[in-house]
Amino acid sequence: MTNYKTLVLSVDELWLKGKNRKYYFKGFKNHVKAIIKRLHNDSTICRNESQKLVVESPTPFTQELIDALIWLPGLQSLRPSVEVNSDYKVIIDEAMKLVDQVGLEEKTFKVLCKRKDKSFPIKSTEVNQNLGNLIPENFPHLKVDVKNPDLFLEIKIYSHKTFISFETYKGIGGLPSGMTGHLLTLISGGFDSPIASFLMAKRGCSQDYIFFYAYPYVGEEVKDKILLMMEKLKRFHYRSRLYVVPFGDVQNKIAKSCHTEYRTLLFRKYMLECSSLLAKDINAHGLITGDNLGQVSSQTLENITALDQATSMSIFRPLVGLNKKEIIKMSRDIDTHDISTIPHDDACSLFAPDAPILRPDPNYLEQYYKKNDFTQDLKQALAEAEVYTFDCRRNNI
Amino acid sequence: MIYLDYASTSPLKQKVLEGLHKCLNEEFANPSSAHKLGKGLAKKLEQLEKDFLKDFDPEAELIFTSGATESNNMIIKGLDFEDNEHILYNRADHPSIVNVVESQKTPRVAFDEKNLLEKINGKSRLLLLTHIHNLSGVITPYLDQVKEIKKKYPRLHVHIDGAQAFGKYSISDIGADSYSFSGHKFGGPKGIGGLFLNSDVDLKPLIEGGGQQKELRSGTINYPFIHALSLAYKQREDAQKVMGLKEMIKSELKEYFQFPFEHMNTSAFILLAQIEKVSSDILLRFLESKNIYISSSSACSSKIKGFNPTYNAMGIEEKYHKNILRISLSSQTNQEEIKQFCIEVKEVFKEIKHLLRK
Repeated sequence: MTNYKTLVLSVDELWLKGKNRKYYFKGFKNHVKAIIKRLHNDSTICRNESQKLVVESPTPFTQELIDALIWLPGLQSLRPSVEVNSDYKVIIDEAMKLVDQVGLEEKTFKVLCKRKDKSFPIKSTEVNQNLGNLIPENFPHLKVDVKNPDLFLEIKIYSHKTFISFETYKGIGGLPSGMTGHLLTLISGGFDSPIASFLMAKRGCSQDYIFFYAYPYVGEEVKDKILLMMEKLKRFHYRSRLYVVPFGDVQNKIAKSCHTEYRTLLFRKYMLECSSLLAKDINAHGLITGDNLGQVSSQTLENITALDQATSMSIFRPLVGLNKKEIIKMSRDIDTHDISTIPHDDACSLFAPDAPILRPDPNYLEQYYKKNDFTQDLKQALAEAEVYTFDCRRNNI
Repeated sequence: MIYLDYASTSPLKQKVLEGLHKCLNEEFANPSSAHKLGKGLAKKLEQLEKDFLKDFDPEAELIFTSGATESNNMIIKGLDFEDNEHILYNRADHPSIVNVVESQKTPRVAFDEKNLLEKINGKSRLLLLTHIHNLSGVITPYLDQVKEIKKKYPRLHVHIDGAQAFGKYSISDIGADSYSFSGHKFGGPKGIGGLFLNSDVDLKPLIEGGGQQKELRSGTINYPFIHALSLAYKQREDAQKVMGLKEMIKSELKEYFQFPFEHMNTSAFILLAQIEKVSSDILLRFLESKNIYISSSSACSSKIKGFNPTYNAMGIEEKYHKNILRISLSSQTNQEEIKQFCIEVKEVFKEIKHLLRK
């Protein structure tokens, strides 16, 4: 492990934010500090340097910490750097060591040396030239490109200490967690809802999660799968909760009382209603779903519209314009793919009609809503929900 | 609680629990020790062995193992095979047979409930039979033919996995060369069982060390558990009584379940049921929420069709692979429990009947 004692974090989109900038920067810094406090055992100094946040510690930062920080919404990139004595030979040796670690892929690079201490005997341009020659000689897969390089080797020389960095970790960008508000995400075990959650997290929405657990129609393994998924989703948040709502009885009641082809639509309607009840309780501004358009036969515009009309909360559907392949690619990028593919029983497929309704009859729905009031059942289900809390300051639930 | 999963494992019989407790406390010595305590236990052990052997074959040997899985492994891995000699096995059998056979380099030939006699020849070295099938409860139709087969093919070793039969059905006069069993299937402790072995069989040991148990299985002899095993065995299971309970389930629930193996000769203790349309896991969970415990198709339900190679080998159509339940009983089961079980099953079906017609 490299001896990284300094991390430089660039913040995304702060330039957009005018008057709010301070507030956003502070939010981001808080999140970073909370994670460091959990994962780093020594004191740290966190200071602002123009658009950047610089974190320093007397002991090296672990890879685990870096891996946790790169998922924070608002982080554009993270560069770890090593700190050495301002001795020319030592600087060159350390720089070569760092370069040695980037792997064997063909890449272009550029050396960027800055002499903050002008008394240092060797000029920046000379350092640049020396390393620009030395590196390709020793690592033939690396070539100099001063205009558009893949990698930067940065060397900052102060009077006693010199900072060298080579690696850049790309963050997910966007806005710091919680800056735009709080939402409730309807999560299932599939590909879509985790990606929907991620996209909104990237836009600065803190979130709680609701999972409709259709026990005994589905087994405990589905809940286990959701908990595994939460291990991935919690990386975006300062603090979030998962509500596991027992829904088997409600689903069965709905299934018994409606036309078979309306089951899927009505399950969704009452899941949204239940979510709205919870959202109001926990001060969430709206709901996030993984809905897509036309991905499965029940996802028609007519059905989506019918559900919007029957729900009192705003529903955010960030996946509506995405193709399945794009969603799956994103799931690989954020590491949720292999959890989504774990096989599990799906209650809806058990209840699912052979042909779900595509164009619902508004009159039938109106009558059904009038005849059937599940508010009490939904409240009951919420009261019986299991709640799991995920907090970035703590290791476990 | 209504426990109907005895074929998986059974609770300790009360007398076994008491006896085991006392024995662990008082008869803890090592039967291989040279002192009085050890020698005393060695004598007792000899008597226990004799009592067991009486029912199998007084001339044979008995090796105590951790259970039928180990005993099956001992036979499959410990027998000597000459070039081109093969193992005969049934793919529908327990994983401690099928997986072990299929992981060996020894050639293998699969047979089923009908074609064994066509598959046996002079190159057959080991025949693996299952006394009572762990899922279907079918009693192997080849049991009566073991002696005849042995006469015709003297080098063929016939091994019987008796995990679901021992302590429940007679094992005398079968004519097999070896027979394995587990204590926990009939009210004994888990982790103890045995292997009956004809004394002229040459077997390479699986576990080597101090050579306890006739150089065939090393490790300190677990006297208290062997004692408990014999206590469980003495309290024989009552197949006739249990058959009555099984018949009761069959007649009460015939509208809800099919019993695809019941036209064959099956054990009183195991009933395999097949359900139309509903995955058996759902029924299992409904029942567990009422504190009733049975077994279903698979421990892990799967979205992928749920193809199960064992069911396939048993001849169950793939479309039913997720719709199989196993109800298993013991002498400890009573009529009240069965009545209640049937009532609850009917309740569940009432609750979900609208799901069955789409």
